[in-house]
Amino acid sequence: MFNFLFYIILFFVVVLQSSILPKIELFGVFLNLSLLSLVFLSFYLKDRKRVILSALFLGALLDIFSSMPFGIFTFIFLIISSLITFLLNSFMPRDNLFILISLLFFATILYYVLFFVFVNLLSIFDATNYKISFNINTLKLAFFEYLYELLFLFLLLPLRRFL
Amino acid sequence: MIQKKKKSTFFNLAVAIVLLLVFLMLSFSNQKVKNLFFSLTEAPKSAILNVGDFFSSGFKIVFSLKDIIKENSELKEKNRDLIQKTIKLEDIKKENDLLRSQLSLKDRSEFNLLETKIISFDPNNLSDFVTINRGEADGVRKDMPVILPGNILLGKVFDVYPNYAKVMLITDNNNKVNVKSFFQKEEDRKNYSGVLNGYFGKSLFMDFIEKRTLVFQGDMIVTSGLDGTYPANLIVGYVDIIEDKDDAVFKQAYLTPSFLPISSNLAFVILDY
Repeated sequence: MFNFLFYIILFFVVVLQSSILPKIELFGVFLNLSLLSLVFLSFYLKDRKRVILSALFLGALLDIFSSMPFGIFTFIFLIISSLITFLLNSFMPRDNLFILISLLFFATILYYVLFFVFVNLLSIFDATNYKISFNINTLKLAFFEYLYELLFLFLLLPLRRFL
Repeated sequence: MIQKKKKSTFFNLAVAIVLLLVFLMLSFSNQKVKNLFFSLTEAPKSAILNVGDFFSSGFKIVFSLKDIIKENSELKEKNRDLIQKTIKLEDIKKENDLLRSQLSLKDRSEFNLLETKIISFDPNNLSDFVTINRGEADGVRKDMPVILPGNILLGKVFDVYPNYAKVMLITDNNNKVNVKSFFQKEEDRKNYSGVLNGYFGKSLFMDFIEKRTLVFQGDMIVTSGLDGTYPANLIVGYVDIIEDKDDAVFKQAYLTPSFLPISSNLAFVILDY
């Protein structure tokens, strides 16, 4: 039952991100709730399999709703969640809020870099005719998105006891 | 311990293989899968959008009451100007119709529009797309222009599915539009034109404006129709910041797009113009 509810919530995270959240913008940027959820789950969920499955689920749903070629978000989310779990299992403590905040920053930047790399790589192989430039404005976007996520992270924190 | 590690490696490998197979399968039927998911999620998304619109419009009214009063008086003034203009235009139209009938020219009236609803937005900040609930079955084709009520340009069709279509907004960096100025009042200065594309934070960047032309803040920018994708005279936005560097060959300007904020989910695909 918990499993079912868990994935239903993740499904609604993506539905919210593709419906109402883009209408609530700050500095032209909206909240990336699925990335925030992924970092949150990777940090607090101890079951590694569930983290990977959540990354796959969120990523695949984003791929379905986005205009980019299929697979981009799934791979990005898989890479981000794997890296976070690896870092946490290797040397980072899980009970430090500062580490969660730093990991969120790292994940947001990585998300933008990987998105840029994958989209442009696919455009080289003619899988898409869409291109993305990476410049100071992209970094600005990433920074504002991070601030937005940080704001909502504190709202998510009480939910950690359900995990 | 070793057994546990082996188990974990096996799990990762299994996930990777399944993923690869799913991607291979989906890449062949990408359009159909996406179409199916759009239809499955259309109802919850529409409900969320409607609830969100209801609350946001309520909040907006409360917080912008002062601006509304100011805007109201400005609109009244504009309305007076427009009434005068309409009377003038009515005469010109009559004359034009008469001349057209004498020259046996085809009526150059409205576009052939297809009503549609915006059902979702792209879930990331690096690209600007919306999904509409009309697709190939309704006659929607790639690169068809999409507008909002009031001839406000929204973007062009980027991807078509059987019953849905993805629209690339004009605020997307990859969307280039040929535009020109449109002066609402009679002015001495010359009209100017340029090319615009999306810019950081949902604004527009207009480039290649002739150096000697006069560009003012608040100038209305419309499509020129030169690119062959968009018909002429669709409203694009208003000039916000002007850049005129001494060493640059052209002037540049940053625009506020007219389609923002998207308050209603109603849009139209221009099937023919």
